[in-house]
This record gives sequence, C-alpha cells and structure tokens, in this order.
Amino acid sequence: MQDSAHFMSAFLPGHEVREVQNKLEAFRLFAYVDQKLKFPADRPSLPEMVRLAEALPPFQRIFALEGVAHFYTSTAATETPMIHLLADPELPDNAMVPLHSGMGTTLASAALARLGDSPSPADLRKALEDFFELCHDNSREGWYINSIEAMGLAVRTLYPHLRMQVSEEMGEIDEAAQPLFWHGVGRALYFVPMNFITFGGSHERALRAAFEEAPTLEDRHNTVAGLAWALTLVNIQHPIILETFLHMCRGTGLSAALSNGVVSALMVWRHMVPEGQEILAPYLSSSTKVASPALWNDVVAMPAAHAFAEIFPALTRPYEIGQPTIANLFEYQDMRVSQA
Amino acid sequence: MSKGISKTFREAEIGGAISRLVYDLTSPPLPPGEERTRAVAKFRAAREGTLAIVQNLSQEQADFSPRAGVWSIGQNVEHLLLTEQLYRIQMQNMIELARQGGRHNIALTFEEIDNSIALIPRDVIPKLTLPLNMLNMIVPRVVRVALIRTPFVPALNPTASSPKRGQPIAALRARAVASLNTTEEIFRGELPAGLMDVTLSHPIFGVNNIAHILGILAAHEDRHHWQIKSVVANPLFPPDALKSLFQLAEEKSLADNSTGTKGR
Repeated sequence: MQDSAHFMSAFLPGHEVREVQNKLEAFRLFAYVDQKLKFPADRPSLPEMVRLAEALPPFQRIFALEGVAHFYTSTAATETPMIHLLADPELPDNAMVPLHSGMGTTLASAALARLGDSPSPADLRKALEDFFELCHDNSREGWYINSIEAMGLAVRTLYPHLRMQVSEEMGEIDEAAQPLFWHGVGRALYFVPMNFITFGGSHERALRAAFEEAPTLEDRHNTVAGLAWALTLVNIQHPIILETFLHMCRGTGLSAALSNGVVSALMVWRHMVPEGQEILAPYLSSSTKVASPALWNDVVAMPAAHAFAEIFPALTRPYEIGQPTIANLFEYQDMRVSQA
Repeated sequence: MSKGISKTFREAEIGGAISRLVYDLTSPPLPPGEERTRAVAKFRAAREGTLAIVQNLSQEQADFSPRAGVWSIGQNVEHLLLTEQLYRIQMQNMIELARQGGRHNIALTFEEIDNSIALIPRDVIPKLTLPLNMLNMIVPRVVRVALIRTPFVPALNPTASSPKRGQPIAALRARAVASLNTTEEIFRGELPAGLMDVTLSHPIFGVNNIAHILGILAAHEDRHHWQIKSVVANPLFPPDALKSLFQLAEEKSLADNSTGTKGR
C-alpha cells in the first residue's frame, strides 16, 4: 500500500501524497495489527497486546492500539460473554481512547453484520440495545461514550443507507447518544472510499457530505467536528494538511465546529502520547504556510492554547462519577461554553 | 428530492459495499460460533427480504415474465427454495460427518450440481474444473461471495433447481417460511465440536465450511432480489401492489435521508 502511495507521488502535489500515506498507514496499523506486532499463534492477553503496541513510535502506536482492540474483540470467544474488558487496571489510562474506539467499532460492526441490509425496526432496536449493553459492560468507568460514538463510524462506513434509521433508534434509546453518533459519522467521512484518495477535491466532498447528511444543526456541528478530528489526528505530523483543509473551509460559517474537532484531536493526542508534545508546537504557533494567520489563530492556535490551559487539566483528573473525561471530547461542545 | 442529493446517496451506497468488502477482507477470522451465528442471521435477513417482496403479490404479478427465457418472480422464489433444499441436504451431511470426527471434505462435481457461468455451455464447463479450482485458490472468499451477490457475472442455475412456472404464490410464501425454519432448525440443536473443520467443495464456489455455505445461500438470495427488481421495473409489469411497495420503500428511504426525521 505504501508503495502505491509512492507511485502516486508522481501525479499529486506533495502534501496530498503525504496525506494518502498517512491514511494508508493508519488503516494498515488498524487492520493488520497482528502482523505488525507479530502476535504469537496462541493469542496473547489484551494487556500483553497493548504492551507490544506501546513500544511503537507515537504515531503508529495510537492506530495500532485501536487495531489491538479491534483484533481482540473480533476474535474473542462468543461462548463466554465479554465483561469488564477495558476496566482491567493493567491497561494504561493513555491507551483508553484508541482501545474504546477500536472495541466500539468492532462491536458496532458485529451488531450491524447480524442484521442484513434492511433490518426491521424491532431487530435494529434489539441490536442497538445489545450494543449499548456490551459497550457499557466492557468500558472503563467514564469512557462509555467513547465506545458508543463508534456506531456512527461503523454505520456511515459499512451501511450508509441505515444512518437515519440508526440515528432515530439510538435517539429513542438514549437521546444523549445521537450527537455522538453523528460525530462518528463525521470521522467516517474522512475514510470512506469516495474520500479516501486525496485528489479530485476529497476534502470538499467530505465537508459537503458532513454538511448535507446531518439532519439538524447540532448533528451538523458534530459531523463537521468529527471530520476535522479525523483529519487532524491522522495527519498530526503534517500540519500543512490541516492548513489546506481549513483554507478550503473559509467562509463556510463552520469555524466553531472545525475548531472543536481540531482542538479535541490535539487534546486527545496529548493524552495518548504525553511524551510527544513537540508535535503540537506548530498548532500553538501563528506561523502558517497556506491558511491565513488570522484563520489559523482563530480556529487552531488560540482555542488550542486556551484548551490546554483550562480544559485539558479538568478532563485528565483522576476519575470521579459524573466528572467529564477525555471521552467527552467525542462530542461537539459549544466553544463559548467550554471557554467560559 | 434533487438529483444531486440522490446521486450522493447512491455514491454512499456504493462506498458502503466497497467498505464491507474491504472490512471482510481485512478482519481477523471470526470465532466459529460467531461465524455461524452471523451466517444464520444473514440468511434469515435475505429470506425476510424475499418474503417482503412476495407479501402482497397477486398471482398475475407472480407469473409475469417480461420475455421468453426470463424468470417470473414466482420462478425466482421457487428456484431459491430448491437451491436451499439442495444445500440443506449437504449441510446435514456435513454435520453427520462432523459427528464421526476428523476432517472431511465433500467434493461436489459438475455432474452433481451442474451450475455454470452464462455463455459457457453446460457440457463444456466440467472441462474447466481444474482452472476453476486454481482460480478459487487465488480469489478470496469475500470476493467470490460478492460476485454471487451482484449480477455482474451472469450465471446458469443447476438443473436440480430449475423452477416450474405458475406455482401458486400463496403456497410459495408458505414454503419460503417453512423452508427457512427447517434450515434454522439444524443450527438450533447441539452441533458437533469439529463442524467447522468439515468442508464442501465445488469448482465454482470453492472450498467452504457450513457458515460459508449459508453465506453463499444468502448472497444468492440477494442476487435474485436484483433479478426480481428488474422484473418489477418492466413497464408491462401488472400494476399496483408490488410496484407501489417498492416505490414506497424507495421514496421513504430517500425522504428519510433528505429530511432527517428523528426520534428527538
């Protein structure tokens, strides 16, 4: 895959090739983590798999950890129901975001795979209730919403025709889950086949889909934030890609959602890779190459500086019931509220 | 509903099909129990799709054929039931072999199930057994199943599943329900531990375990839904019930996607 990205470099501008390579690398680490980490034939425990992934360089680590949860959950024996999977205290706190995302994606995909293309409302509701229960039973305290957000990612990627039906059912089961669902839809829009290859206006297509597919303003904020989140995290080593995306977004009136997605992704990175802070420096600086300094300052640099000073410490305190965690970043928050 | 939005949804559906293919290709192998559970569920979902199609069908609609050589909806359904019966016997044989223990393969030949690829005469296809077997070793199963599901590669049915014309639609409906129950029944009891080690091979479908066979049956049923849709889309198709059902379903789906009715 990386070879084909190199081949494409003859036809695409530098940063577009870089973006394809970043996407392929993220996908490869997620889908083929067993090969990357050379899992032995007798399946290792989850903490052991996590230890192997944590030895990778930071950028590879976060996607490999998501792949570990996907691999482990996919191959878990179904005869014994999974319980307290990610509550295991042996699992490090900074692996929680990718582990909950990977587990949520796999549980959501499995629930949808059992339904077929046109499920009845009753079957869909039962599948979603089971999904909620499994996520609840296997998430660490305070991280449940991180895993259910992945339903949006799975539906928009694998069964896009079901997205309204699933959104409605999720809303009826738990109204608070609906914004998370649309955030997941937004993340999916960055990876779906029509937008995967970064030429022919893939950023515009993804943004237009985020705008058109979301049925309400709140959902639109979440899809746009989810899209910006995915783009930021996958390309975190190459801020020029985010600059190009933001330059394309100017004048759309979506700066609050874009800013939320970008800044949330930066905070998640800091949580996952505490030692990798130098990568964040360009995002806190007003120096830009493509986007106007004013746009970059408004959407990225200033909100990020504020978030790291005021919001991040509150989200990373030792968990107490009812207290927000990093998982709460998986939902769009009005910046005026979060800056207050 | 603007054409632009409709095109976007079509693109999303194609993207979904590609993503499912990629996901199936790259996912780690499922545990045996889960593989069987999902296969049974997929087959049930496909059959429920068939039942939804024939639910309000009149006999005239069930017997309508757009032109000579094209099956009516009734013939499509009858063919699905005969195919299910054909492979249900094989699945029961696989369970029986698993009870005896050890690894087994039931090798079906073109003499036993003489399906073919359209344009290749039936008496020629057995000569292609070797190259087809080799091809099956190279082409991943999910790709083969995708080819069965979509009508891009035309196929010929085995003689044993050739349907008769003019079957009473009420009887077909009842048989479709009963047949599904019979197939599901064989998976309800206690299954032998080594069941997934028993395989069934065929030059066109490759080597498959019992869950794969069910997956192939589900894909085959989906494929016939496409065929049925093309019969319904014919301008001479007898009006009302079924056609309006399809239209209503499609209109509802498009309307839901564009207006965003929500449970808030």
